[in-house]
Amino acid sequence: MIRRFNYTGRRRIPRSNVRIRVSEEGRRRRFDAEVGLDNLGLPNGARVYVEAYYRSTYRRFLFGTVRDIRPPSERWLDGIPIGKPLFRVKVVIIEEGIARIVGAADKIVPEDSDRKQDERQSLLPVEYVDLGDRIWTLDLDSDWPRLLLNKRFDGMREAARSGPEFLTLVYPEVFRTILTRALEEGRFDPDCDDDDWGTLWLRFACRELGRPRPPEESESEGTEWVDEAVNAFCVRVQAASHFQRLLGDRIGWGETG
Amino acid sequence: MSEPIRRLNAKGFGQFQAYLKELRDGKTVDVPRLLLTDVETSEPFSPQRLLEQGTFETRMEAARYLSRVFEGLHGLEEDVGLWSWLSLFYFDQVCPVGPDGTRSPGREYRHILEPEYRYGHRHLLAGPFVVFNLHGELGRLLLCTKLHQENRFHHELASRQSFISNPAIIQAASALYLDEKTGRPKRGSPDPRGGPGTLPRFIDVVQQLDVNYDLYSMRPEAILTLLPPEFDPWKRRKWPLRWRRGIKKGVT
Repeated sequence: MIRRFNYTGRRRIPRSNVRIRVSEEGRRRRFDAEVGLDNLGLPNGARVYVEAYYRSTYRRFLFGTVRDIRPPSERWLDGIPIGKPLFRVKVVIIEEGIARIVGAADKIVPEDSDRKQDERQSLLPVEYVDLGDRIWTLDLDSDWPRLLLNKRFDGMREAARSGPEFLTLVYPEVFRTILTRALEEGRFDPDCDDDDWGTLWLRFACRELGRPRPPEESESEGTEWVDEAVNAFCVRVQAASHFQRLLGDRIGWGETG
Repeated sequence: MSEPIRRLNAKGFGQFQAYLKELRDGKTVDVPRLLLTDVETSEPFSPQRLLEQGTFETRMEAARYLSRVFEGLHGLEEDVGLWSWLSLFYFDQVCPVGPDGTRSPGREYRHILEPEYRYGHRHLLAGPFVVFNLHGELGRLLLCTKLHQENRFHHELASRQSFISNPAIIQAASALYLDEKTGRPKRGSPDPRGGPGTLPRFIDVVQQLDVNYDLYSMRPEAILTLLPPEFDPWKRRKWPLRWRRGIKKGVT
């Protein structure tokens, strides 16, 4: 993991101070952002930027200054090819052409526009794309893990949200893959960095599922830790009983069909 | 002669993939050009655009031409059917016959676009097209090679969102590493071993700067002033005159 040094006194803007929602208007998407910068000790005159980004695409919006936050009227996400890009907020002072970041929050996952936000949702953005004959896959190569679902299937959105197939067969594997990647990339500290996806997934495993911190020394112990975390996840979501019901439904359906 | 542009469909992908595999297996097989026009393997691109079978000296030329062809259209970057069709259309250039009479296609993503994955930018036509749309003629450093050759600058810079989406960073890299006379990278500048001031070091240093400085708010010459002394020799080599004047006047 690359270590980066903050040597300009940049303050972290708590993620809870920023709320982003993306909504569709016709064929276009736009976003709303609430940015709270009170009591963070940021200079009143510093500029506030909100940026949306995905791969090589990027949009940047000036939101006024710390003293006077003014969202621009045009907040379209044209040119960004996915529904939920990540966002970052930067507070910037420019002196003699040098632009210093004095406050920042990065990798903010937008909330669903039609659902109440909860922490687990924001951990795993979902995109609907054409995957050919595959049902789902994970994109682990962007700035944040994303679940890609095949948009060819009607009812996919509902199935992913509350279907027992996804809950029992897909999400445990998603969880395993993401935790494994986090450990492979040297992320072991669930308290390290609020802007880092690996940290937040480890935090979910430790705090929500009651797992200990992952071991740093041994690869096999790491694998074991991931196994136990996945098992705890399955217990939490009652995967076994959901799957049992799924089998029961299928047998019943087969008998009557 | 112009031809209407089409898109490969699922059957077309399959047959194109099979063809690429045959080439990788060392077989000498004719390019399956029929896939381009067969209604079983391709469909018309809408709105209709026409394409010439021209020859491009560089990826820049190809990107410039395609940008003109698709002028006014948006959201093409992830159109798998379109870019795969284009790759097959220009196959003699994206996968030329070598001196031994065989073709070396390399990885599949060079020909069949994989937009959801980290290799999307490595498609031999879509990659340059994206760079050209973002940076126009200022993308020369990344696009100065033959159509079938991706240079190290494109490979390293286009894969990093904070780099490729920031014109000032691309211009700063060009100021350091592009030989204005030849239009090609200066000798030794992409050094994969990461010698002082070379491309790997530029990436490391700019990534560090990006944490603390809002590089989107800065001009390229201001970014260059933040670089440590190891970059000075590269700055001194053929530094663009207009930027020398800018720095002297303190313009940023």
